[in-house]
Amino acid sequence: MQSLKDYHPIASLFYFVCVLTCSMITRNPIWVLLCLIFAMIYVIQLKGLKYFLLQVLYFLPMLIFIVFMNSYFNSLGLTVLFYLGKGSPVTVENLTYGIISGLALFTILLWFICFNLLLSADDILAIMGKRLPTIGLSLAMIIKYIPDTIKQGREVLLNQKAMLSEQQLTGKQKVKFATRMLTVLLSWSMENSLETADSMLAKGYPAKNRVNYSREYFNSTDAGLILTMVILFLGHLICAFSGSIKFAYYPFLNWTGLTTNRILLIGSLLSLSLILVFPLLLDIINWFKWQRILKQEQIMQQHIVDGIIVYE
Amino acid sequence: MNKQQTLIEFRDFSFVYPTGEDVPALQKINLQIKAGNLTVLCGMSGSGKTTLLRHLKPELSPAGKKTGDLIFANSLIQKNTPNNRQKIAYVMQNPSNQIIMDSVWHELAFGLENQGLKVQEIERRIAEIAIFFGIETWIDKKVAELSGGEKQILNLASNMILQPDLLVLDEPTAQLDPIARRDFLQMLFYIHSETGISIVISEHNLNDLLENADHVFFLNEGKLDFSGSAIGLADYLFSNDHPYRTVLPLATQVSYLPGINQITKNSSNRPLSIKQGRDLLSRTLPYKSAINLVDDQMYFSDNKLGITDNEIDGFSDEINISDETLKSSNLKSEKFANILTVDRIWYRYNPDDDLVLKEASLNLYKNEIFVIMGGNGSGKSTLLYLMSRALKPFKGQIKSTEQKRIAMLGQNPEAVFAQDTVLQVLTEFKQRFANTEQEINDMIDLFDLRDLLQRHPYDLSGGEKQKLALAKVLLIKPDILLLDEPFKSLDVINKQKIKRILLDLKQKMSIVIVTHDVDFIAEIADRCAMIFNRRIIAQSSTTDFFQKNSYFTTTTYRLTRDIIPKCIIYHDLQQKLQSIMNGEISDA
Repeated sequence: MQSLKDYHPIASLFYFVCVLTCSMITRNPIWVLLCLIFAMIYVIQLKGLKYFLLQVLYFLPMLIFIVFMNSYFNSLGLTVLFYLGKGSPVTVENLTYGIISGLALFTILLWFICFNLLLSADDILAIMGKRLPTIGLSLAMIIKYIPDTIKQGREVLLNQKAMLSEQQLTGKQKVKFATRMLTVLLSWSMENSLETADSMLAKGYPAKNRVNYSREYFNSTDAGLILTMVILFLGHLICAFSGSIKFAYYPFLNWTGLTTNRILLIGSLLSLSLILVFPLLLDIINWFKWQRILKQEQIMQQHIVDGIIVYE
Repeated sequence: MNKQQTLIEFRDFSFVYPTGEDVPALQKINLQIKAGNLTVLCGMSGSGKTTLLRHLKPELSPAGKKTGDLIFANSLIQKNTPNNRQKIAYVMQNPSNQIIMDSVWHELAFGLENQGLKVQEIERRIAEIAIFFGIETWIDKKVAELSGGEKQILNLASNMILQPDLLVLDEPTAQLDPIARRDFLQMLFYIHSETGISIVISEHNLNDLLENADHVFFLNEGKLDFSGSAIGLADYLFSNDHPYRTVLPLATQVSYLPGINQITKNSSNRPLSIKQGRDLLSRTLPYKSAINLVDDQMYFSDNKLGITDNEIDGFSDEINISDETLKSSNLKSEKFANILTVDRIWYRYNPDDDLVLKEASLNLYKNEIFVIMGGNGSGKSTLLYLMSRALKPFKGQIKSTEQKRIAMLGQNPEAVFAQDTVLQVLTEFKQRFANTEQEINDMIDLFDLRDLLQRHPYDLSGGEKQKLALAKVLLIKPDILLLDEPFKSLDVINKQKIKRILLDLKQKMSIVIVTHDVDFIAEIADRCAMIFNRRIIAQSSTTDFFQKNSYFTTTTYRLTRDIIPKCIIYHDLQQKLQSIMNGEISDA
């Protein structure tokens, strides 16, 4: 299920802005881990476990690199574990900081995977077109232009090869060949865009009162989603930044915010969890709705006698 | 006729391009475009069709010196019409280049957005046009996923959605294959009959078009030489012996042949379609059965049974031999020496894609013209690329007997132009292939490029581009020449010229041609084959190939099948009719 996809692109986009901000504003390990866990679950729900494990595998070298660089260049922290080479100390503190930073980055990556899946280029265009019509139009034209150009590039390459089939090219000739190919492609696509320009003129562009048409409708559920998110997001920011989020890595690990107002602490964690769990919750609710409908249909089937629905 | 409102009128209109060396592109044109008509504008390439059509759309009219009057009906060009409504729509030749947006619905919306319509109005217009054109199923698609024919239908739809009063089309089917062309024209005729919109269309292929035309204009070197009905045009062309007459539908041409002309002369009902032509032929040739009996030794009806090897030996002057026969018989003379063998090749573009070719085989002989036909996307071009070694087969081999130089020219000549002038394009490989000045000069004269040498290749017309690219490839001096759709943008005169050149070249090399142009190819090919179901099938001599097909065959054959036997090309028909009229066959 991809319930978030049913919303207006603006609503979905707003949701992602909220979670991404939440995942980026702090290095507090509890906050980072909470975001990470929900991002993981959501990716698995959308793309499956296998895909997620593959992402972990891809990211692992990056994580190791981040941790290493942090420990190598950052000699802060009191609890020294061992030394790297000639005197860069690896401490519990800088090690933890490195790992948490790496995981925060991974979280953002996972959110972007979801984002890509739920918002298509068309959706982005719909949002852009409303606010910035010229950029929206240019983007749409570019999206049309790219596959055309790739196709043409391939044709130029094949044609150039086919014309001189028996030639084995040396290194220098290859460079020459590539430059020539680019020249051909460039002049050809320039020539073609002149025709596109004519076609735009023929259809009345540029026009003073040009509007932007989008197939998406903004309805009350979209407004509901945005409103809920605004409330939760603001609530979270206020609670968190009133102190509870504060966490110091150096000189030693210390959750300085823990001792501040308990209610605010719980409030901020709760609002964050609600934001994060939101799309999953939607999927679960919709799944149950489906089950109920299927069940009703089954019951209905039992009532059908000789093609006529009979209620007793 | 005169009661119809005049939409656009040209009065003594002349036009000279700024770089036109004072040769007017249009000279003293006097014509009227009537409301509700389907007007066909025809003429050779370079006769000024596009220039004239562009003047019908003020936004696109070219810059240059205009004299005389060009008068638009008030309803067409009222400035500040409500919502900038575009009253004149313009569809161009290239299907992809005139598409502006990324997806089908977005493209349909583009013109309406310019008019500043309300969302509900745009939505309704898109819905009605999609249903009217029957394109609802692909409204969500990206334009890159559409075929050329679909793209052109979309261009028609995205213009019709603006509810124009006049639809102008400049060679809209020139880049489409025959099937897509048929679909497009049918859609156009449907729109015309359903909405009564005025249409002006220019085309270089007049088949299927003239029978639906209300009015025809014929342009010749910038002058309006004829204005009137389709049959009037035919009469005009034949009475003046104009070379353009060969563009007329075949059925019309046949009605002017001696013997038949006497019968049709006084009636105004000359045939324009195959059906009408067949009616005419069967009416005029009452000795139908007699002809069948005396034609050669082969009865026409026997053809359905296929030709046996023994019979084939009788045709010694033709390469009338299928592959199987060649293998079994001892005819493997010098003439049929294998020059290239495609041995059971498999090909797919990407590991996950379906196979494009599977176990495809063919033999290419020395000094022959071999033609490959087939539907859109059947892998014809892919096969040529494989033969040229630009692509490598995934399985199977392409073997040539000795070191043969292969050169290929693809569908779009633009892909081989890297220089700024025609001369530079031709001399690019001068050193590499040791071209002498003499060779280059000969090539320039052969393809009439002398006057164009300093022009930019992109400023040439479609036909001239094609000729330039062909000249360039021939300077590589190949042993095997591979051509992909080489006749697409050529007019009659140039086609005849290229035909002669190719027949000459045959003495020196083998030529493989991929094309849709069945009628033209039947005149020059030695052997033909089709690609279907990822294989090369029906490899056989040209006569054999077209006689065994009933639908995928030449227009001449479709016109004469069961009436006059064994007519594949127009020339056959002329000869046969001649002998029938002289009474030779019925006497024998």
